[in-house]
This record gives sequence, structure tokens and C-alpha cells, in this order.
Amino acid sequence: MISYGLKISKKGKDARTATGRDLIYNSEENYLFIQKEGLILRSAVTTAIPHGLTYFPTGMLWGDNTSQEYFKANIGDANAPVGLDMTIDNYEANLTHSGSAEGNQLYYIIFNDPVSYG
Amino acid sequence: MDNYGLKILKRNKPITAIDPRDIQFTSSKNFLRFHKKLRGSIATDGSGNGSLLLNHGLKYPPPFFSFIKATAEKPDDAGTTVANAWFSSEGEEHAWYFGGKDFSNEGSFNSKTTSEVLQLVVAGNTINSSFETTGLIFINPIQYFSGKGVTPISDYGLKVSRSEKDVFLENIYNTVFNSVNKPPRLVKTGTKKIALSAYSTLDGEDVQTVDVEHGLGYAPFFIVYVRGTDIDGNIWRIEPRISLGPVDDIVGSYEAFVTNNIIRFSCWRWAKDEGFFGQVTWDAEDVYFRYYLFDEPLNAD
Repeated sequence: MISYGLKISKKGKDARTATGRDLIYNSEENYLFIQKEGLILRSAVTTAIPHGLTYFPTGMLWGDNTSQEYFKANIGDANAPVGLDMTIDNYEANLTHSGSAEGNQLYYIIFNDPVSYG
Repeated sequence: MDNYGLKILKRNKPITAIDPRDIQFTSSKNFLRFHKKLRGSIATDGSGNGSLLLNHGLKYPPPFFSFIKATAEKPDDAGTTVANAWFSSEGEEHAWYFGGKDFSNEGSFNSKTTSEVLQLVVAGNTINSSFETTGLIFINPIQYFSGKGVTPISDYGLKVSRSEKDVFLENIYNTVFNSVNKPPRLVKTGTKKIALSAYSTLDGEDVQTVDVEHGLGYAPFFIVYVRGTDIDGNIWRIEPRISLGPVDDIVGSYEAFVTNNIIRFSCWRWAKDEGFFGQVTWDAEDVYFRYYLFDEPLNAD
């Protein structure tokens, strides 16, 4: 068993011996946690979200159309009634929703992990 | 750090560390946490179209990732078939491109969630009559939602509420962590580069690939980000990615798929229509793929 940290098993599994997917969480392993998240109402095609990190993080974006159907970025106008894109640099994330309706909802997350060129 | 909750640092890091890269766990931050895996098949009609509705059991639209595998094997750029190749959804028509160097084999795969279902849609495919699909549903709500009655958490294990939320509330989305909804565990991550050559005349299309052997024995849930130095500059985008070239007559597609043993990254450059074949140019470009492979198999429960 690990000698420090936190280990949580699935119900019915022994946390002292469980491995892999039988563990809900094991602090010896790596997970992406969400450094920043938000739910915004679209007021412009592109919304800039400063992430406050000093490096390039990763993230994800979902947004809806006028029927409150949610898509995951990136997706183009060609195949859905919503165009969603997310770009990230070392200062901010830019969320683009090219749909025509004001008030569409966007849910974004920015992970803690830095991208690298290794 | 917030002065409540739980915080675990990476090994040999002081508990006072505040850099997110040094923190292993903190109850002041949220995780994407699994609710359910939805698997099914899509049968397509004579036009290559088909769809599938799967109930996710939440009362709000959740974040999701969806993936598709052709029941026939996908040829790679050399015409060699690749078994059990899983692609992420979204992207435009050519981002999901079965045919290797054959323009005629293509299709699109899109998906969306509502407050009840995950819908998976195949359109205009020219290669298969049925497809396996997997949707991964997370509990985090992606719209304003204050309803009740969402699956309560059992009274064992660990439960950490969001700041200012009552930990005894039964709505699981008000937790940042609990011992029921597992966050995806990273099993492999890295960055891979494809160096693309310049073309003075691009005749038809150019396809470059690079593989990473993950050796997991299953096709893992993956997330990939792309950065093309020529097209995108100093930013990262979510894969799959379609970009217009330096002249408007060329398209670049950057995509990835996984099998039981590899993740493959591809860069496809082609003239937007056959009328431009042999007439367009492309600059040299380094394309970087940042990949995350998780412990959740796409091809098994």
C-alpha cells in the first residue's frame, strides 16, 4: 500500500489491495484537475478568458444551440447548427461560438496540466 | 490555498506550494468525474446516414466525449488496414477520414447532449453500414441547473462539497470530489511532432503520420491537442482540427485515433477541390500533438 497520500476504492473493493479501475482515486497516480471552469452566456462570437497561469494549459469547451443541445468543441458549422472552437495560449483561452443566437451557453474548463514539447 | 478542505502535494513538494503543477489533489478544485459509459451501434442507410439516442440518466446536459470505430478496418495512408481504430467525434467532414489516400471514403461523426440523451450521428459515410460508438458522460453540469433528485451519493467514503455548498446535499454535481464518481486517471501523456515539408506544388494530397505505442491492450479514452506552427502560431487547439492553409485553396486536417496498442497522429494536406490539384503551395510546418491517454477503455465496459 502507498505510504502517504489518499487512496479510495470502489464500493466493495479493499483499498489496501485494489488497483487500476477498482480505485476511485489514488494520489500516487496522475489526474487532470480543473484549474478554472465557468459557465457563461455568450455575448460575442469570441470570449477571452484569462486563465492566470504562467504556462500553456489545456482545456475543453461545450456550448449549445438554440434548442439547448450541447456540442463539444471543436465542431464546425458544416455539420451542426453551432460552431465551437477553443484556443489556448499562455495567457488566456479564447472561446468561439459562431452561432447566431445571443445568450447561448458555454461551459469551459481549463486543466492544470501544462502542454510541453517533449 | 483555500483554508478548508483537503490538499495533497506531489511527492517532495511542500504543502505550502501553490503552483498547480505541484498539486496532486486539492478540494478547492473540481475534476471531471465519470457518470456513465454508453456503448451502442449505429446502422446507416443507403446514403450513409444514421443516428443513435442513448439515455444518460441525468436531468441536465452533461459534459461528454464520444468516439466511433468503423466495423471495417480503416486503411492508413499507406493503404494498410488498422484494426480497432477509434476516433473522437466532432470536426468537419474531412476530419474523420476513413479512406487513407482515397478521397471517396469519408464521412462525419457528430454528437450532442440534451438534458436526457446523448445523440450520436453519422452522416455521409461511404465505407461502412454500421459503427460501434462509445460515449463517456460526466456528472459536471454544463448549464445552469438547480434541480434536485439527481442520484444521491451513498454514505460511505469521501465526499467534498464545492465551496459554500452543504456536503450533505444529495446533488452530486455540488461536490468537487466524491468516492462514487471516478475522475479519469492518466496512464500516459506526451507530445509528438510531425515535421511537414514545404510543397511548391501540392499534387492532390499529402499525408504524414506518426505513432506512439501505448501498449495498454485496449483502446483508451484520449484527448489530443494540436499546434501547427504555420497555421495556428503560438496557440493550441482541440483535435480533430481543420485549418485553411496559407492560401485559401488548401485544407489541413490534424487528427488522431487509438487502437489497442497505438495512438496515431495524422496531418493531411490537400487542395480544396480537384480543380486546384497541382496548382497550390504549402509552407513547411512543425505540427505538435499533445496527448492524454486515460484508464477508461472505449472498446469494453
